[in-house]
Amino acid sequence: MPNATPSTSYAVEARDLHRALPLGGERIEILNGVSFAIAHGEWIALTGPSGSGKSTLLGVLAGIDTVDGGAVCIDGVDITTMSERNLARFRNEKIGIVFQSFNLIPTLTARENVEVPLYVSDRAGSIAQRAKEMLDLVGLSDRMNHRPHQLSGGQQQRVAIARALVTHPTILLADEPTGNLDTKTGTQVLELFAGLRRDLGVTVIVATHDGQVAARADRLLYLVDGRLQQPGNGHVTEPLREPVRMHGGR
Amino acid sequence: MGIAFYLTYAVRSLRRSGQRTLLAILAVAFGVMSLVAMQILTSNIFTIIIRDPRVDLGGDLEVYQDSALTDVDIAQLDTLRESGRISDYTLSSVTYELVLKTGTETTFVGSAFGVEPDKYPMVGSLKLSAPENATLSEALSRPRTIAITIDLAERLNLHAGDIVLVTNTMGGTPQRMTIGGIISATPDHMGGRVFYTLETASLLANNARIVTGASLLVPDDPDGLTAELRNAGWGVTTPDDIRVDQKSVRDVFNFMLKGAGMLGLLVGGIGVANTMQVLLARRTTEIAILKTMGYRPRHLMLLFGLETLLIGLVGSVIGVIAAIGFSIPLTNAIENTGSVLLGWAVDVPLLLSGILTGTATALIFGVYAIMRASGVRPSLLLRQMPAFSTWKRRLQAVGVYALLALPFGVLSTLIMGSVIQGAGVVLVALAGLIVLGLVLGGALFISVRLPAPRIWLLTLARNNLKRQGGRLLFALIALFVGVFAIGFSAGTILSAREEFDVRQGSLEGENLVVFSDAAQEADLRGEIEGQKGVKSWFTVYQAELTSIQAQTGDTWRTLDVPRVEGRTDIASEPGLSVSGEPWGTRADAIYLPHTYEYQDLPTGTLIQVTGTSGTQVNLVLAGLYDYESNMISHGHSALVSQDAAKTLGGSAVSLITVAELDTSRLTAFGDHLQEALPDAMVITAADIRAVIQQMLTNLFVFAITVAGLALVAGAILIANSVGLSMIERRREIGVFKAVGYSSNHVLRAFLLEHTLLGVLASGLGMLAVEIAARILDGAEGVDISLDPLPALAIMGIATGIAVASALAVAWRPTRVRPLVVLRDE
Repeated sequence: MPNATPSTSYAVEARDLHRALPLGGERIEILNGVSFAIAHGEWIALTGPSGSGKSTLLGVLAGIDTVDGGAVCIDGVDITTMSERNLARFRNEKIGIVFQSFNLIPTLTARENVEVPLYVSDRAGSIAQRAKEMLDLVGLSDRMNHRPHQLSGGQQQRVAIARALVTHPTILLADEPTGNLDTKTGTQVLELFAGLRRDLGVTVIVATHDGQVAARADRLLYLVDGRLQQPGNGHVTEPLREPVRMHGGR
Repeated sequence: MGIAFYLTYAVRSLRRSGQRTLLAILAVAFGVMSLVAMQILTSNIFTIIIRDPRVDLGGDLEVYQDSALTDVDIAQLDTLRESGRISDYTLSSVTYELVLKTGTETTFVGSAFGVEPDKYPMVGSLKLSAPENATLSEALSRPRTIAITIDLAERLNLHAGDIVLVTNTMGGTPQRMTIGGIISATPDHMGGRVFYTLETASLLANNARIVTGASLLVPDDPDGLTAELRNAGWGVTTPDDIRVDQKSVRDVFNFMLKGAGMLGLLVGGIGVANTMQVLLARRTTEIAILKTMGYRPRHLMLLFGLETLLIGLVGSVIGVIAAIGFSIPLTNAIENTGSVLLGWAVDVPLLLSGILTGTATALIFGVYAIMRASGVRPSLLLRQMPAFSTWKRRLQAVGVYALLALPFGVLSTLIMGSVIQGAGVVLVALAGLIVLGLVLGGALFISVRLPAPRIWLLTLARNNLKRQGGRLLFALIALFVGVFAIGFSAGTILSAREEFDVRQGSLEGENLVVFSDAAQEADLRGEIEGQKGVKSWFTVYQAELTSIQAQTGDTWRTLDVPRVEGRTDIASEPGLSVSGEPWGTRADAIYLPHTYEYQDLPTGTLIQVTGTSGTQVNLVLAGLYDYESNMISHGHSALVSQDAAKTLGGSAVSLITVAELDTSRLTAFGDHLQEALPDAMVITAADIRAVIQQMLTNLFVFAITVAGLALVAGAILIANSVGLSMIERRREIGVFKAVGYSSNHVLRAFLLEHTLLGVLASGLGMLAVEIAARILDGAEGVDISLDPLPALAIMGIATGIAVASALAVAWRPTRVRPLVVLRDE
């Protein structure tokens, strides 16, 4: 497998990613030579049919899944060779993740959920104050002391977004962020993403099946059977604003 | 690091886990309760065992002679006191043959003490609960009064001022005595005791020579005085003699009781290990979320360690409170079986150490679950993968637990107070777990693979048992141990009771004995002769002696014979036999007991005997006698003719009348006779049987109480394993319900599974009881067996506990809506 050359000119750079998983007695190639680069501040939609490898790719980019080959550089740092300990610290500082099912901690209030990443962060300052500011930013300052079950789906997702961004990461990864929301709430969440990108300059990568979500992106990465392809199979309704930059995809 | 945040997080997580947190807390509480209750019991027993040896001696030394002390002996003690070699002494008269009768209730007193109440005790203290603030001297100030320990008073419902009939069966005649005081604490904490003055002792024994020993206070050089007294022919007991006995008893109690407590703690620890796995397995998603946000294993270990610490702390506090409650019936059971005044007490350091121990145990046993949980890969948030139980993981678990045996061994050493005993308990427990694990695991493996009818729920249950066999092993072991312990205790004690009924407790044969004085002889004869159902009867006349000497050459040798028993005929007494001249050959014959010390005396030796009436009689040694009896304890008496006994005893002669009655009339006639002759003491074989059966019942209750702990442990471990199983099978439950199964269908499959488990554990437990009984039967000639009915009852209870535990935990999860489960997945 070729080694990636770190470069700080991209927020994310993936080179020849390979990932296989056992299924029954066989190993199934989930990612099969995926390469691409994403500039700072870009909004990328990661799309493709079910089982195409979107979630796996997102996990690899987030540093929560491993690869069998290839490299992923975030802000010029190769995270595939990092120790577990350094990777955890790196995730805390550089990466925010938002899930389809929100994944808030049910025993904690909205504010406490947002505070969670700060307790293992090296950043100085008042944890409570920063969490409050972030909840202000997502418009939930009046729901700070509510538990997840006391919030609507949209509110829960906004708390999750606040939690993902509270450490000021450079990259926000979202896995089907509107998948559990109705259309109106989903739109509000996407508006929030757009505003946060604008205000905080964060790079956004959203894995989605939803054409309307993908249409919000600056660019589209289209995965089929673990490989990046040019879109055009009717999965995405909106045209790309900029062509996908691909390296060595098969 | 936000400790306050971690604490809030931990507390809320534990509250949210509800039932599972409760199970973990119960597991810790169970372990701590077992340990602390046993420690309290040990501590209370140690106050008896590990007391100042001087308390046992009543002074710095205790002295005695081969027979009762004479005036000459007592004069020697006076001389020692006057010379300053001893600062004081007090005399005592101990007998183990005292019987109390209140109405129709008969009590055989363990030990009765004639004392000098103004001096007793010279060491230690004796307290009376009634009359309030009275001294022993005040309680016994009036003639014919006795003081009894509080256990006797409570058992017989006696109060100060009540009158009881008392007989010293060694030559005494029944006497009416007033309860002058109730003793709440004796110097040596022993109960079942009666105290009275030396004058009363003399009255009860029908003998002036009743002083059996003296306790001495020695201001200095006790060793020198000991040697001096021994040279002068005294028997001397020193504090060192007592210490040797104390140490061996202390070591046995320490190992047995604290060892049992440590096993309970080990079971509690296993419960914590299981429950923490359940608690954390449920939170893998949450753990993965934390990891995606940058939490590292050490953060998670801190968080879950804090949760475990809280579980340990709360469980330990509950366990300590339960231990305080549980130690009361345990102490009572020991008091009832051992006639001791334990004086239940707990000390705060012991309770605090229980809390520390329980918390430490929870942490030690929670470590593996915490390590496993902290190792969860965050990628599972994006992709569900089946969890494979690989050999690597199993080996890792074995390695971690082997390492954890070290801190547990240290804990055990601290509690047991010895490295060898501490390590011994851990090693024995581990070896036991391994052996039982292999045997029971093998049995489970085979039994779920045996051919069985193709009933769907049964197939489902068997398949589930196959799948989670290893996890159920601890619960299986606990149930097995519980059934075995209860079955074996029940078998042993019930068999002992049956054996007793056959050998001793049978009402057949000589079954009635009456102690009386000569004045009651005619009335007694009238009652017995006019009674239907009396098959045979005879009367023995007892006369206490002040002197008995055998002529050997030109010298007289003093014999250790305190009394004579007079008879007309020995043929009516089964088991009585004489060697030498046949009984009745001569009127002046005397037969000594067949013991080593009299075998050198030839037949025809002149024996000079002086009775308490002052009459001296010359008798001739006609031979030796052997005797076996269930109604009369002969001790060291000599047999003479009835006339000789009457001459020697005079008006103080006491009568023992023994009869064989038709068993159907025994109790009624015994009661009638007691009523007709209120100053005589009537004892039936039924009274003796009742006393021994009560003792066996007390022993049974104690054994079952301790053994029952294992079943409680089984219930907790089963609840744990069901809890874990419920989490793993949540999706399976959802699928079953989605295809049309009702909650009851699913629940029935779970219950059937645990019924099979309960039946297997209890069946094997009973099989082990049978095997143990046969081994003991072969080795010791002891017949231990358990009838089918109690055996089935024990098996039923154990299986019921298994099913009830499963039901309690599985009830709610099986009622979950399938959509919720499947959508979660």
